[in-house]
Amino acid sequence: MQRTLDTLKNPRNIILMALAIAINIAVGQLVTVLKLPIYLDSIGTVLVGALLGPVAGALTGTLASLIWGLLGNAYAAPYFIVATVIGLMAGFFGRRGVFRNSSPQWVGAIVGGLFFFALALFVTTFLNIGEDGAMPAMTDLLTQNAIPFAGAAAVGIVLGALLIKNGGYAGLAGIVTGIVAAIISAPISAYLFGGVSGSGTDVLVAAFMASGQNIITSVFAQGVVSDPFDKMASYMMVWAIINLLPARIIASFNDSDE
Amino acid sequence: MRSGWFDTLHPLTKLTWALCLAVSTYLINHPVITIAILSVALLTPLATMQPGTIYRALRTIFVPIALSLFLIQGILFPGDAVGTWQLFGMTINYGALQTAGILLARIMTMGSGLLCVILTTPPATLTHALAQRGMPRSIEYILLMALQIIPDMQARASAILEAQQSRGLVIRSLPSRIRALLPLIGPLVVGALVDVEERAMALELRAFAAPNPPTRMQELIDSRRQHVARSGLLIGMLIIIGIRIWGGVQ
Repeated sequence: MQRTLDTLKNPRNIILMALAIAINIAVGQLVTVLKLPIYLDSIGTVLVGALLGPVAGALTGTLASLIWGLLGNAYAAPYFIVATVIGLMAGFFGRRGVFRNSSPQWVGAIVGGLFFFALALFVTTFLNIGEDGAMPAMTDLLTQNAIPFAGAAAVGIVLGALLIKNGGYAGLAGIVTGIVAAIISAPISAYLFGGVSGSGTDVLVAAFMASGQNIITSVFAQGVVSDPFDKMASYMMVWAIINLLPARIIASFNDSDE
Repeated sequence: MRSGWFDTLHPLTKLTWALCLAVSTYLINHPVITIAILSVALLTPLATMQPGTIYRALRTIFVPIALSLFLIQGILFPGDAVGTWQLFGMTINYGALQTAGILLARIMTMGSGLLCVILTTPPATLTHALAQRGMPRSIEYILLMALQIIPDMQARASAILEAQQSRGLVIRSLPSRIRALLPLIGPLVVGALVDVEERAMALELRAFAAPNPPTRMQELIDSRRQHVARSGLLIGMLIIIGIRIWGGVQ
């Protein structure tokens, strides 16, 4: 509580948090114009977490959800807990230096490869769960689908080397945050909204439902497929911006809890 | 009921009303009661000055959700074949469709209540009411500043997009759109960070850190009747939550 109050005493922190919320919304709009299949609407929250620490990050996430609600998007408000956790995690990762340190390019390639491999494994496992809920044997899955898995890993390695480049640490932290976000948002989405959001990602939920799964598992699967990409992109964008900024500006935003 | 009666209520009374609608619709599992609560929620906009705006906002938000719910719950629900019928070649599960209907009623109840609060209460009035109940002033400031700055930031984002396009930025294929992200988002965020310095100085000059409570331009009107109504709604909500947790009622 004391830390929260200390964070809120500094006018610079307050202004950065307000600007970050506006950035979330403006970037969300830009991405819509670019017609990209991601949201990037937590980029400001991640930025505050990276610069000011977990408490400020979490608070920004909570308030950003409230603002979405105040702007008439009543649908977004119940997800405030997800936004809070995203800010909190960005703050903890920020303290570990993931936004300030560059990784070797091969780390980016490995992160990309592992991510695509894990994603392929997850989707295949999910689609092969038996009628009685029995999990398929991993060895069988891997041997039967060896070529698709190898292909997914290869695509991941190439994309990782080309797109993640030196942001391997930030990319990995974003993937972890995305998975946690999916785990938290699935019950909210399934219980409050029956798994639908009225957006394009509903197609994924429908696909998983059509494979015979129940709603909460389908929503979770949809989240695991789409959230890590989104959070990885947000984290890497923040990493790139922090590394582009003059040191003087970065130094003026010191995480007071460090 | 006088038109615009809801608008004049204290923001916390409106907020408690919306919260009560949302809690009761999600916690009471009885179709008739769900529909009754939805009817009350859908009648609430009529007590405001701008029912048309609220109903239009409801329609915009809920038509896509209703379509998705129909698809996901009604058609793809993995149930047995009992109680299904064919429509344009699709198998529709009656039980699942009923579940979708109840869910939609709940989403609409929650949405209607919240929209009535949001569209009849200026944000400054809402945050003022919350600050009076102990919310830190800095949080009030963050919320209000963010709301004021959003149009400015959106305009800046559009200006950056046009500026980069005039410098030759191409946004056609998917790879080109991905590559365009950093040149668009970078200047937006960097510009905002540079702004922080100037805005912080302006805030300090206006005695933001002064310990005394600020003088308000506008006083909120509350009444004993509203206070009693709020307490009644809160007690009602607690009873519903209590019955749901300990009463064994589904």
